Order: sequence, then structure tokens, then C-alpha cells
Amino acid sequence: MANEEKKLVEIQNLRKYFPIKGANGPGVQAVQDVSLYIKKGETLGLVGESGCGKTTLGRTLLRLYEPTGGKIIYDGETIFDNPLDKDGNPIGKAKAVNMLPYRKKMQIIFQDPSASLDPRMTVGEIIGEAIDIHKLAANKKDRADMIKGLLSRVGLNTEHANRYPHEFSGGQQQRVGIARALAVKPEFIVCDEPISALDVSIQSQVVNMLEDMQAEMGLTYLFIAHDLSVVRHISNRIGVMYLGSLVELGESYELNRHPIHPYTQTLLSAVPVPDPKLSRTRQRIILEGDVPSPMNPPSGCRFHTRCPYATQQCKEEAPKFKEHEPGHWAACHLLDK
Amino acid sequence: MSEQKNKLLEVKDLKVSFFTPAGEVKAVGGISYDLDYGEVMGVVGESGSGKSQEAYSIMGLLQSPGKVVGGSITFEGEDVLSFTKDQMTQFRGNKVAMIFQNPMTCLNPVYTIGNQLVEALRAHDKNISKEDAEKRAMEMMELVGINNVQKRMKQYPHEFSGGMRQRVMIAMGLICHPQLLIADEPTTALDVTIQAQILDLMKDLQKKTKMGIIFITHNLGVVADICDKVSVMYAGRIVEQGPVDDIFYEPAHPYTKGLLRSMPRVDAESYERLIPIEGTPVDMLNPPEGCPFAPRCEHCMKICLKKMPPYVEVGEKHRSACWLRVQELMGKEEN
Repeated sequence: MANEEKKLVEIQNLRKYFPIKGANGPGVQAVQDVSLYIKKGETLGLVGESGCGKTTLGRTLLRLYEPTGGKIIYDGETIFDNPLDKDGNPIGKAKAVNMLPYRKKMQIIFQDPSASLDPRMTVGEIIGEAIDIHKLAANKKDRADMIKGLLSRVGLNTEHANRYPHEFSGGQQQRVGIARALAVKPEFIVCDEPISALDVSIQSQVVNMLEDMQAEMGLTYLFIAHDLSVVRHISNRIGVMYLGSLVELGESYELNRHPIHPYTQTLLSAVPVPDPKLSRTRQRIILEGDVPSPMNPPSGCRFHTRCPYATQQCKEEAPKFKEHEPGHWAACHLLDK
Repeated sequence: MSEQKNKLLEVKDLKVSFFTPAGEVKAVGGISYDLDYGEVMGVVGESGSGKSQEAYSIMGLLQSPGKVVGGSITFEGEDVLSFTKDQMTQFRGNKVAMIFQNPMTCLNPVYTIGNQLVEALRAHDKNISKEDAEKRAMEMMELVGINNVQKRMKQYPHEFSGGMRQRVMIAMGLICHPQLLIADEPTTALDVTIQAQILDLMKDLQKKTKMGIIFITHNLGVVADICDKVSVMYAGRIVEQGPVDDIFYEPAHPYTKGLLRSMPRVDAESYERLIPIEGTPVDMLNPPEGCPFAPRCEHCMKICLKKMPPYVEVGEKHRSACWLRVQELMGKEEN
């Protein structure tokens, strides 16, 4: 779907730590030096287990969380820059621009539709608020027309504008959340697990709607989810995260056919397939143990404590994120040999 | 299994209603199935389809204002619904155990894991000594794959990860050797790699103990992985029931077909657009007349909106409730 090779969003060594009161050390290392870019018009999927930092990455990229370090470039303009020295300490003061003009271009759809809508505002007010902040409507009639247009775009009735969020089902609430994000006519949307809270039969409706809107309006998505089959379906490229780091990135079907990082291989083999015969014959790689705490991540490669192929080198030295095949990136010492 | 021997569990025309201020909600509207020793039955359905309430009624755990309003539940030949409170207490835990979706809310945060396991055992076996109970608890924890048992017994729930807590819940459920385990979305709150661990553990334990399992989930991938047979529920009714292969490869009901079609295919080599089921789930306060799925069904006929379809055998032990099938059969007879 990417019509040109233009990078719309780019992050370089993005880092986000959450300090813990009264504790020594840097706190929770939620996102650890992640670099990636998203091309205009494409969908980049981001997968990983809970606590791997995928949601934090999405929010830090929008500067809903202020980054600890690194650089964010949107459409050629630097919106945050805070270079770090070798020890990870910031050099000088961070460069940070006013985000208001960028909020119009960069939007987000949240995971839990009922928690992300104000229960005391009508749907019309929720959508209208975004229009008011960015002064997009010339007059009252214009504003009402815009709200109606947005509601019908996401498959709701125009009279739904006067209702409150609790009067809607989960699937409809998520549609309201999407309408709210669309209200400012954004170019880029972070979809943070937009379908995880929905019923199976509703999920595909929302997925199809997101695809239609992308084709119509030329949107660019960062699609965060833990359901690999849906991410593969909707994404052009997929990034896999483990404990704050990006471990693999590649074309979506290529990544599924030939995962090169041991963690991606495990993750793919663990997804249950809705095919009884296949699941009886399929060999699953079962990982031992649990994900380590991001407060105190393992040294070297963060995956080495659970990796079946780990060597001494993996314990001591963090692998570099490298391009191993055209467009297929991974961070693993095994691949360097 | 010989014919005269009782089935492990037989549910006949079970009806569960909730009497709310807004009116009666028929959460379960007459479902029947049976389960044998060593069988795993999957119950699939959307939220609000009644799949959990049906399981709660077997355990006698229905919360007010919910009530069983009809039908029967027979466990090893005994009528479960006529049990007294004491009989029910003995039945729960000893014969049937249940594990829930969120293991954190099911464990008491102020007692150690060992304490809670021993309590579960001693509640059902008054004569067992404390030492023996602790020994059994430790064996159970080892069985479900928890290492360093001595130390783990003295720890509190918050010191366990989500996957480990679910293992504790399974250990607690199985400590009295029940014949039937009801698992209500046991892996939904877990990550895929942890889910794979728990599913493997359950398959392994099931082989060792020969217990029957009712596995409630909305994830068809999990069903394909662990179940022998499947009941597909929609709006409080079982719309299709059959062996797992039949359900996945020869689905008969339009809802089952729709569910399978709406998911991205596993073996897809390139992009294929999804085919969703249009419309929204049923409002259980005002269910439509006739087949509950009719308003969303692409094959909807006049009769579907008026009358509930009967069950039709579409294969060996495979039945479906759909007028389309009824008409097909009648057409055949006429010819």
C-alpha cells in the first residue's frame, strides 16, 4: 500500500524509563533504544507480550509520554531530540516542540473503548471537542455536519450524537473512539490494540473499516496488538518487541514464513491455530519461565534467559539490530555468525 | 464405554434466567449435551452468549438474580439440581472443580499459596493431617510444573506471575481429584507463550487423570488445540454441536461458518480481505422471535424470523439448529 518510500514517522534510539520513587537505578526500562521508521501510507504492526513496551512505545512516539532520550522525526521535522552519551545520560537540554499542531496530524485509538470515552459527555460532544480545540469548524452548522459525517463514516446513525457512551455496545464504542480520532483529519494514527476488547464477530468489522479508511484517506497506521494473525493481516511490515527492545522487523508475510530471531519463532509457534489437524501435527516451541522484570532486565541480549540457543556472548554483549536480508532486520548474535 | 454405564455429565434442556428489574433475561434458553470421562468439550460463543452461566449452574454458583428455571443436570447418574447445600459442598471440589479467567482475583492475597492449597484439601477431607495435606499440596504443585516447591509454598499470590498463578489455580482445582474440570477462559488473560504452556499442561494432566473437561473460550484457535468436541453458543442456545474436526472443516450453521470466515486464515500466503458477520450481538432483554441469529444471517428466510429451528443431525454426533438444514432434509424426502 505504500505508494512512495517517504518516511512519515521516524524514531531513533527512542528510550522511555519510568522512575520509581525511593528506588535506586533508572526505574522501569519500558522502551530501550528503539529505532524504526514508518513509511507514508503503510501499516506497521507491533507485536509482543504484555509488558514488552509496545504501548509505551506508541504513546512515547506521540509524546503522550515524554521520552527519556532519543529522537522523533515527523514528516521531516524533529519534534523531539535528546541525544544521550555512552552511559545513557542526556547531553544538554532536550529539544521539544509544541505538540498542538502535530496533535492534528497524529492521533490514537485506545484499547478499552469504554474507558477512553468520558461517560458524562454525549458522543456528539466527544467528537465535537476535538473539532473545537483545533478550530476546524467555521460555524455551528458546519460543526454539526462534520459530526454527522464522522458518525456515518464509522457506521453509526447520525442521531447517536445525542447519546452517552454507556448506551452503546463495545463494538459501537470503539467506532466512536475511531470517529473521535478521525475528527481532526489526521495523517497518522496509532491503533493501540483497537480490537482486543471486542467480540470475535465484531473484530473483523472494525479491521475492515480501518482498512477502508486507510485506502480512502491515505492514512498511516502504527498497529499495536498481541494477536499475531490480525497483525499479519493488516500490516505491511511487522516489528516484534521483547522486554523494551525491538528484536525483529520485516515484511509481514516474510516475517511469518521465515522468522529469524529465536523469540519471533517461539511467538509464532505459540499462537494457537484454528485448524485442528494442523495443531495436532504442529511442533510447538514452549518457552521455559516468564518474562523478566523490566526494572532489572538481563544483561547482554535481554532474551538470553529464555533463549534455547543462548551462549556466553549473549549474556555479556547486547546484539546489534542489523539488516540481515533486504528489509528484514533482527538483533541476534546467532545471525552474525 | 459400555452402554449401561452412566455418562459423566448429562445436561438436558437446561434453562437459566436472570430476573432483573428490566425484565427476565433468558441467559441460557434450553441447552443439552453430554460429556464422557476423558473428553474435552469446548464451549465457544461471544460475551453474553450464556457460556459461563451454563457452567456456573453445574457448580451451583449462579449469582442472584440468576436461577435455573428448567431442565436437568445429571452427574454420574445423580441429579445435581436436587442436591442439598451440604451435598453441593461435597460435590464441588471432590467431583467437579472450576478454574477461572483471572487467577489474581481468585486467590486470597493475605494467605500464602501453601495455606490456600492445604485449606482446599482439608475442607473436603477432614481426617487428613496437616503434614499429609502439605505433602499432597507440594506434590500437586510439582505436578503443575512449579519449581522450588518448598519456598513457593510460603509465598503470597503477588509473588507469582500470571501464568504461575493460573498453575496454582489448576493445582488447587485438581487437589481433590475431581472427575470434571470446568475451565472458564483459563488462558484469556495470559500471553500467547504462557497460554501455550498452560494448554500443554492441561492436555498432559487430562491424559494422566482421565477427567472430563469443559473448556469455555472465545478463541477458536485454543478450541482446535485442546478440544475433542465443540458446542457453539449464540444468544443462550447451542446452535451447533459436534466433533472438533466437523465443526472446523464441515460447519453447518451460518454462525459457525461466519465465525470461521471472519478470522484471518493461518496459512494465508498473501493478503485476503476478511468477511465479517454483519450486525451486532443480540440484546438479551429483547431477543428476536424465532432464530436469534436470523437478523445477522445472510440466508435468513421468513420462517427464521417466526420459529426457533429444531436440531437436525448433519453427521455422526454432529447437530445444528438451522431452518436451512431442515428444508434441505424435507426437500430430500419429497424427491
